[in-house]
Order: sequence, then C-alpha cells, then structure tokens
Amino acid sequence: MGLQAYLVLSAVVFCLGLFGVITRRNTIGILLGVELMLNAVNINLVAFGRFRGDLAGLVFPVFAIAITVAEAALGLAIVILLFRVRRTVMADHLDLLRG
Amino acid sequence: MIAVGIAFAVTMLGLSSLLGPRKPTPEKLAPYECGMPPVGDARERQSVKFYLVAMIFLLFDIEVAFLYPWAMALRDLGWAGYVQVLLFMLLLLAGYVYVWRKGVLDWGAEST
Amino acid sequence: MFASFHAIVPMLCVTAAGFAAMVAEAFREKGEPMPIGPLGVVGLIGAAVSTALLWDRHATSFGVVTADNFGLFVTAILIVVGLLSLAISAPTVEREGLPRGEYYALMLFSLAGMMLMATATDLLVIFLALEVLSLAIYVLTGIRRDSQMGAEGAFKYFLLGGFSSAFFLYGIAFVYGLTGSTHLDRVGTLMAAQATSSGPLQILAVGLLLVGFAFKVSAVPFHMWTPDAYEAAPPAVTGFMSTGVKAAAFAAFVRVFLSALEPLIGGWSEIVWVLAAATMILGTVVGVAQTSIKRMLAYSSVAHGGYLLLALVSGNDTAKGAVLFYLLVYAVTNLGAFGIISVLETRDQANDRVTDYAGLWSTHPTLALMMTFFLLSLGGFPPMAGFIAKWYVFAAAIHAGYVWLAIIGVLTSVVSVFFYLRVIVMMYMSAPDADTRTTLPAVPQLAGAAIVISALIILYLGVLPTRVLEWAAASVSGII
Repeated sequence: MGLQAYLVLSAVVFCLGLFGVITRRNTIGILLGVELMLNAVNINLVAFGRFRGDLAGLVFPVFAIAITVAEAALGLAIVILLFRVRRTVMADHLDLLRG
Repeated sequence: MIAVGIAFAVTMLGLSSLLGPRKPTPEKLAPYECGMPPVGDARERQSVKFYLVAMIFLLFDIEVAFLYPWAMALRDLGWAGYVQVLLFMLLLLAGYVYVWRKGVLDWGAEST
Repeated sequence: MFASFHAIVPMLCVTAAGFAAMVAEAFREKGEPMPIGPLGVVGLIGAAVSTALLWDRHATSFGVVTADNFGLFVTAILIVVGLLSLAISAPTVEREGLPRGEYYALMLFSLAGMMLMATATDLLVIFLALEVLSLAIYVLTGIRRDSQMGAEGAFKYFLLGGFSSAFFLYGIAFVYGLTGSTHLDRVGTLMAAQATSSGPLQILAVGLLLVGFAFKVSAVPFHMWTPDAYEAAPPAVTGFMSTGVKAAAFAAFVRVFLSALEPLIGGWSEIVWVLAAATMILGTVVGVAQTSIKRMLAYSSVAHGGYLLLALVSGNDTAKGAVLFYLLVYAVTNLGAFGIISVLETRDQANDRVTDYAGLWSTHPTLALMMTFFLLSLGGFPPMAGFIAKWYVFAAAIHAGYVWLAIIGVLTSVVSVFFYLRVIVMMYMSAPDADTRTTLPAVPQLAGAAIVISALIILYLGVLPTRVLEWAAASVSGII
C-alpha cells in the first residue's frame, strides 16, 4: 500500500469524526467525534513518518495521543459537571447562552 | 480452504439452531453472572465515581507511554534524559498527590 | 546541559509557582487561609526578571524554544496580564468561594502555556503549548461548579476548542508530510523551495493551520464560542482569557505565517484579507445590538481580533511592531474593563446589563471614570492608547497597500465608538435604578488598585507611546 492509501484513510476517518461532531445530539457522541478527528491525524503523522523513514513522525503521535487523552478526560469531566447542574447531556438543551 | 471452513461453520451453527431442542426456563434466560443469581438490571446507572476514577486512570495510564521510548533510548539520553524524565514523573506525582488529597480515590461510604 | 534551559526560565518560574499552588492546595485544610495568590505574584516577578535578563540574548532551548525579543515582548505582555489578572481575581475567588489553589494553579499553568506558545519555534511545541493553555482555560471557564451557565459555556468552549485543535494538528501533519520537519525555519526554507509549484497539499496545510488559529483568535466565521464562553466565565477569568489567549495566539500566528509560511503568502493573504474584513465588520455590527456588557465586550474582542488580522495580512516590519503594541494596549485595556465588571458583580447577580450601569457616576464616580477611559481606549479615541495602537495598525496596512482594508477598519472603529459611548452615556446621564444603588458592592482594594494601574498605563501609552513603540519596533527584527 502506498502513502496515498493511508492519507485517504486518515481523511475518511477525519471526516467521519467531523460528521459525528456536526450531527450528534448527545454530548458524549460529540466528544467521540472530536476524538476520532484527533486520532485520524495520528494515522496521518505515522504514515508520513514511516514513508519518510523519519523517527520524528513516530514520536509526534505519542505527544498527540497524550494531549488527546488529556482532552478526552477533561471533556468527560465537563460533561459530568454539565449533567450534575443541568440533568441533561443533550446538546440542543444547552440554550442558556444565546450563541 | 477458508471458504469451506466458513461454509462448514455456518452450516453447523444454522443446523443446530434449527434442529436443537429448546426448553427456556427463567434461569436459562437470565444473564450469566459467574454462577450467582443475577442482581438488578445490567444497565444500572453507574456512580459518578467510576467516571472520575476512569478519567484519572486514563491520564496516568497514557503518561506511561512516554516511558517506553525513554527506556529504549536510555543509554543514548544519559543523565540529562534521566533528569528530565524524573522531572516529568515529579509533576505527575504532584497531580497524583492532588487527587489523592482531594479525596477522589476514597471509596469509603462516608465520603460522598 | 543547563545552558540550554535559559530560554525557558520564564516559563519554569511560572510553572513552579503553579506547581507550588497546586501542592499547597492539596495540603490545605478546609477554610485554612493560605497566601496562594502572592505565590503566583512571586513566580511572575521571577519570570519578569528572567525576561529582562534574556533580552537581546537570543537564547535557544533544545532547538524548539527561542527567546528572541519578539517572544520576550509577548512574554512581558503576558506577565502584565498575569499580574493584573491575579489582582482582579482575588475578590472573585473570595466571593464565590472558589478553590483558590486550583484557580491560581490553573491560571499560572495557562500562563506558562501562553509563554511557551509565544516563544516556541517548532509546530509541535506550538501545538503542545496551545493545548496546555487551552485545557487550563476550559476548566477556568467552568470553575463556578454550581453555575449552569458556567458548565454550558465551558462545554461549548471545550468542544469548539477541541474541534479546532484537530484542524490545527491536521495542518501540522501535512506541513510535516510536505517538508519532513516541524521546525519553523526548516519549514520556511523548504516551503520557499517548493513555493513555485505550490500544489493542493500546500494550500490544504495552510488552510487547516489557518482554521486552527482563526478559532483561537476568534476570527469570523470561527467566533461562535467567544460570546458564550466570555459570558459564562467569571469576569476575572474572561479578562484573563480574552487578553492572554489573544496575545499568545497572535504571537504564534505571526511567527508561523510570517516566517515559516511566508513563501506561500500569495496563497493565504487573500483568505486572511477576507477573514479580517469579516471579523471587523461582524464584531462591530453584532456588538451594537448587545444588551449585556460582557457580550458587548466579547464582540468588541472579536472586532479587535480583526484589526490584528489586518496587521498580520500587511506583513511588513511596521505591522509586526504594531501587532505587539496593539496586543499590549488591548491586554491592559480589556483587563481593566473586565476588572470593573468583576468588582460590580455580586454573588447572586451578574450586574452585567448595560442598564445596570445607569448612574454609576453618582454611586461609584472613580469606577465610572476608569470605565470611560477603558471604553474610549477600546474605541480608539485620542488621547487613549487605543488610538495610537489603531493608528499604527492602519498606517502599516496602508503602507503595505491594503487601503480598502484600512478603510473598513476606520469605518468599523467609528461605528464601534457608538456602542462604547452608549455605556458611557448610560453611566453619566441616566439616573440609577432605585434598587441598583443598594446592590452594587463596595470595591475591593487590590482589584481597585489593579484597575487604576491599568488606566494609568493606557493613559501613559496614549500620551507618551514613543519609548514602548520603539521597543516593539526593535523586537520584531529576526523573528524565526
């Protein structure tokens, strides 16, 4: 498989995540979408690193994953907080602030 | 070969589900919980504490990912690398002490 | 080994203070008073001293952080932001009963992230810094745990922030794929070599990075989170994040786009042109319709992002100096304004409608006077510093040939004066409501001092800007 295949895979996963973020009503689902987007990028980074024979491309994802996890944990914490004070996890119930 | 294997497995499973005798009793239909009689609904709402601990586990778990590359390159990095990793672990330790002191890891019934 | 640490000493000071704050909070008994705020001040003073010592040294750490004068100037702005924020936060923390160690630790960690972002010269480190500052700010937005609005604002901010980081990281991945490096000067040389045959991948990489930055500096059409997050957070936090994040993000924006991606300027300058115009116009037009002062200032902050984008697109050395000066002026002014909103807030009432400011002149004359200074400076009235800052940005734009954009800038500034004046008129001309007179709280000393100092700084920069302008102009040469 060539580099292109990996790039296409990562683009597809990224778009799936994007689609999830836009269409999901459940906040947990939206979080999953964001995670999918971030992890699609890791595929991209690893693929570039592999095809360039460059170790740096394999080190970046370690950092990216650590960041992603921190973000996921924080996101979950905020959703729990939201559920505690609002008793809902549905995104369209969040209308206190007129965005 | 694979096709034959799949066909064989599908045939046997299909036949056994078609021909096999069925005598459903409440015990048989109940979910299997290690041989104990099942208690409550499996979709019971979990305590928020589980999420908290899961979150903290996730964070500390992923930080170990940094230790593997370091271990592989231990000799090349030398003392400078050692000090840096030590600093990193120290920061993590502070985070750990913080959650500990804040009582997130308390499982006792008295703290809510 | 230790020489390579020099460039990150300012961040280390701030991180150490945050670290100490966190540990102190962990071992603090409930209700035990502890001087955690002053701890932060000590850290920031350490950072200030090290910044002064690093000036003109051009120190580099690990090849990924460079303390050049540009980065140090932004670091200095961030130190000012930090000190003022700590001062105006103290009464909020007291009043709302917030966990003080947590609050100050988050603020300091976020400041360290901002400083790292301003001095980083590697895309990956910029990303890490961006996340460090953002994650702390998301939590600060929702720090009032019993507030429904706080949780909602934090969630929206978090969501759009995470979303934009994904775009940003994707852009970094493509830049890495194209050039085999994430280091800005290598990216710059390799991009210059490829510039003649810039294909779709280059455009994609630049576009994704642009989306990531546009979210962070709240440029239209990626500004949706701004008013919500600004309204939901405690005003002290809003003041901090509206100024600190903007300073750090614009520093990195200038570094990435005007050095590493400079060879591709033909590809992105038009997009940024449109972004700048849309941001200035929408920020101003929607700002006029707001009834809440916080939301009004949020849209004003969007519009100010537009003026900074205008300087960015101009791209010459004058413009870079103008960005630095503008960031400083904007930071001090906005912090002062949010400081006033913060001291007027009570535990159960936000007091943030424009009508709540009716007759402030008769109840709190000093506050009303200070608010007038800040609003006039935001609107760009002489002799306030805001006027000088805008003057230089527009001059740089005209110098670079972006006359139309400068005209849009001037027109939107004039319109924006309308909504600042509305508040000022409200403060002086209207009689206070019968009930507001009693509900407005007394002003805490520390926060009051911070507000007065901010006002003095903008007056000083408005009347005698030459020296600081010269510093700003001198620190833009040799940005990596």
